[in-house]
Amino acid sequence: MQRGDSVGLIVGGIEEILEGTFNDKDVLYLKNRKGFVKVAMDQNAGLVPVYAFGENQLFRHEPPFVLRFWRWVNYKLKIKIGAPGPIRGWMGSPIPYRSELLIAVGEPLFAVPGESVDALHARYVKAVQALFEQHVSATTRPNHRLVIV
Amino acid sequence: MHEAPSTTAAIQHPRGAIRPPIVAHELNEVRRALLLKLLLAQSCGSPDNPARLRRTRHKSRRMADTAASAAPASAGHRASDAVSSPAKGDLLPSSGPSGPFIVTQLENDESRGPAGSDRSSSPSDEGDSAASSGDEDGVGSSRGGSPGAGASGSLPGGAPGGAIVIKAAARSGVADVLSVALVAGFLVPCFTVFAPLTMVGPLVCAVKYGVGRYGRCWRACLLVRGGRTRYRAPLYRASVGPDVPAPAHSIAPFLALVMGTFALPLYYSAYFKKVIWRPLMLELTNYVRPFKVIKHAALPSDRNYIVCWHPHGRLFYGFAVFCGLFDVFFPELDSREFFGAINEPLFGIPFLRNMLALTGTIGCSRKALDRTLKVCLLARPPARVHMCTSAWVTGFRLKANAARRC
Repeated sequence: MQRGDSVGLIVGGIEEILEGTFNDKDVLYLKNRKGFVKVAMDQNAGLVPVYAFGENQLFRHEPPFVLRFWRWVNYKLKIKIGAPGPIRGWMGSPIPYRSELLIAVGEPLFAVPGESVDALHARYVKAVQALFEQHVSATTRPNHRLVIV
Repeated sequence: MHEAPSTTAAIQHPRGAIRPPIVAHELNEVRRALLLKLLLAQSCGSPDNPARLRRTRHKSRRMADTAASAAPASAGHRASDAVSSPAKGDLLPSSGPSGPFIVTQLENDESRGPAGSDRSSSPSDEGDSAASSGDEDGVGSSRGGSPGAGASGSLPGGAPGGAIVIKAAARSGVADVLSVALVAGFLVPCFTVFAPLTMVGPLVCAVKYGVGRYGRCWRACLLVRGGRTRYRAPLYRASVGPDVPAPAHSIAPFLALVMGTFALPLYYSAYFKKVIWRPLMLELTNYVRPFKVIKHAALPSDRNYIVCWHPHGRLFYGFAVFCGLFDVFFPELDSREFFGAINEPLFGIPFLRNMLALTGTIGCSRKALDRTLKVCLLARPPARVHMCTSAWVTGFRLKANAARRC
């Protein structure tokens, strides 16, 4: 049996942090993210879509000017550190709220031989959307929207 | 064979029956046989019950698992009800009744196979779901191919119908308060407060006291004998002013501490993560409530996986918990490890990097991912080398040197 370990990846990365978090929608930075699909195709690994409902609600949402500042730091100064602060949770401290966290794990997607990166990526995006649609009604925020940029 | 001793040393039982004597060198064999019989009876049950055999195999595999450390105590009792409901145990062998997780089957909320019928017909369960897994995944996932031996053999293509919900059992009362205090007072601040403080502290000290052996009194040292002099208090006061403390408070201890964190390894063994780190991770699952994991498919252990997490959130709280407890949620991937991949610059922050390494994270560069997915057996250092150097883990540049040294 070929030996190898699995890897968890937050696909959005700093771009997704810098998109911000909102009360009524989750913004995923996914359309231009294809590197993880390439790695999966190279290593013949399965892509397991995981959606965490309520992850965006653990902390307060950042105001736009803070995000603008960090965007400037990340893209102009090329310090790829995301938005390290301020992280405001419970009473403004960096302690998260005790809110719901529902993690939905989808089925693994494997690359079909001869499939292009874009095709697998499209399939993956569709799987993520399906996972969201399937479970969003069971969460405490059933009217949440999914925005993929 | 032992005629003489048997006649001479025959023990007269009080009730009159004559017990055959046991000679000393036979005693060990008798003991061994009895012990073996006892062990076999406890661990395997009868050989005509393959379900129980399989369960005990799981049990022996997770001997090192602390999350299940409460479970082996009740394992003997579970062996008895395994006969009545073997399917339940087969679905999630490790996180079934063990520990603080409640495992339930999601009600049939979508057009999947009927969950109830699959559960009731447990003996034909494996064959049915293995056959149905082929047409369930119209999206081209080729997992039902070879359900490997042992653990994954009983998990063909995931839950037979619907999904499994793994819910963290909520604590109450004093236990809850203590757990929240631990999480909010120590665990989360480790990642969010303490690490930035350890960066700011040395910076403040450097500005205030200066860097180096003499701190900001280097000008004073230059004045006397070309810098090779001792520290002279009057000269130092003259150079830096009256209100600056003596350079004994230099940045050197901080620097040593910070450099020390970089010498610590970035890889911790699975045993360490399970035994020492997992109880803290379980506290984190208690903190957010409800903490639920809905699992749509089992992951056969003959493949690698890239688990893609959406959305990022403000901090990767859920992701860290999920990474730390991955083998609780996916027990069928046993003997495999799971690494979370996060932003690489975070590994440049002194204390944060150690905390992140404890949770089992790696950098998210292409190289690190490839190494973990493909050649992890090579990238993983032998146990002896763990504490020697972190060069084995951080990169291959120093690999030759490290090999020569160790």
